[in-house]
Amino acid sequence: MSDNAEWCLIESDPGVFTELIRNFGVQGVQVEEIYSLDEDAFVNLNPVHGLIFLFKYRENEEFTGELDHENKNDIFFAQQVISNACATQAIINLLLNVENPDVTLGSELEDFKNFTSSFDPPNRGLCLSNSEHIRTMHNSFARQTLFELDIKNTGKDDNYHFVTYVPFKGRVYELDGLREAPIDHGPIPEGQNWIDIVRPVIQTRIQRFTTGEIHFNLMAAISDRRVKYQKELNELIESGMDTDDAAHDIYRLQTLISEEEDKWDRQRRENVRRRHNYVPFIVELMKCLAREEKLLPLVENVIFEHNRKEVMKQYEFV
Amino acid sequence: RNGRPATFPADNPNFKHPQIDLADVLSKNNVDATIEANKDRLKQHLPNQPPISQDDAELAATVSTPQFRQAASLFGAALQTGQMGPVLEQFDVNQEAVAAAANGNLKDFAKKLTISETANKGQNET
Repeated sequence: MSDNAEWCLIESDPGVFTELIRNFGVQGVQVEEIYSLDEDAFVNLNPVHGLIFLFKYRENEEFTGELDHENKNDIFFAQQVISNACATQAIINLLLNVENPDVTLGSELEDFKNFTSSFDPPNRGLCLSNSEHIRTMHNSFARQTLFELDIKNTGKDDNYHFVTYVPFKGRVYELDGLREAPIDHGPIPEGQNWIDIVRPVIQTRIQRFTTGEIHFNLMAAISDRRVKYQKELNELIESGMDTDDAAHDIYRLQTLISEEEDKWDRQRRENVRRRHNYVPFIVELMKCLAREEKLLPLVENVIFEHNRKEVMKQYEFV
Repeated sequence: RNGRPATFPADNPNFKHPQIDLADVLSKNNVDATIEANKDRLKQHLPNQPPISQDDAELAATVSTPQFRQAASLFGAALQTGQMGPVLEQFDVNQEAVAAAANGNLKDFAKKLTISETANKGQNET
């Protein structure tokens, strides 16, 4: 039964997460990767509905904040019961806590949220891992397994772990599927953006990584910017202002919308390629090269280059 | 240590076949002309799911995409560890080339594939 149903590893990529979220039936959300924790990095992203932090998992990592057992059923928090689902787990933990008019969950996730509303975190986790719909969507982003391979990269990804940060009822919470309750990182002061509270929390966490080791990435779930810009554009056009400034703003918004459309198109293309099995193409291409008698010289060139570098390395070594 | 490597790696009897990256062999510069000349053979193996269709633009873009490059690297690594024999059999690759692949020898595979494909070419033309 579904206990044995497989969850595939999926790539941690903003385009994958955005399409996955849209395939769940959610509207009004896109995911952006964050490259810096500076205040400036978040300026154009507001409102940020939640953050997903991916890092190399180490056992017994100490944590800051307080486990909030009291409100653990109030916040949507599903504990992790199976390992490969953790990207989707983090995404669901994020989405089901969003209370923003920009975001519509859609019937599948609404039903799931209602169905599990009286459950505790372990049972929500079980329910999530047994959800046929969520698993099917998740698995549709599995990297194409070309063939059964004995290459030593399997299992490597298992050491990565996703956690979610969300604002909830005036406080900042960390939802880590491996803990028994949400972690409370304190209140959001009146009039302040929750991002300013969570930035130092993540900063502290990153500082614990060995210098130079980049074993984390950070993604933000934000409002769909095409919708946001379109709304601004409509308002501007309706206002009927006929000034140079207005014309300039209209042009600016149109450019931004088309940039977002292009990005979404590019991400969808990348996702189709991710799912594609390129083995038949590679074999055909090698046959074509062989027929033109180019394959062997190309292989020999790369081997020669490889060997030359090996020799250089040996010299340098001495 | 006398300041130089004992032998050129390939001359060393203990030397194993180097693990080379097939994505380097199938780089854009290396294969662009061949792709251009074999469009119809290759296009049918492209993804065919919106927004991608099996057209010239996708064909031209393919070898530079990270997804193709990753697949090529994986394919090459599998071939050089002798795991591609059974897979290649499914693609009408002749027995000598399959045997070379099963031995993990990419260079020999290229050689055997060239022999069989150039022979096929002759047949097709007559």
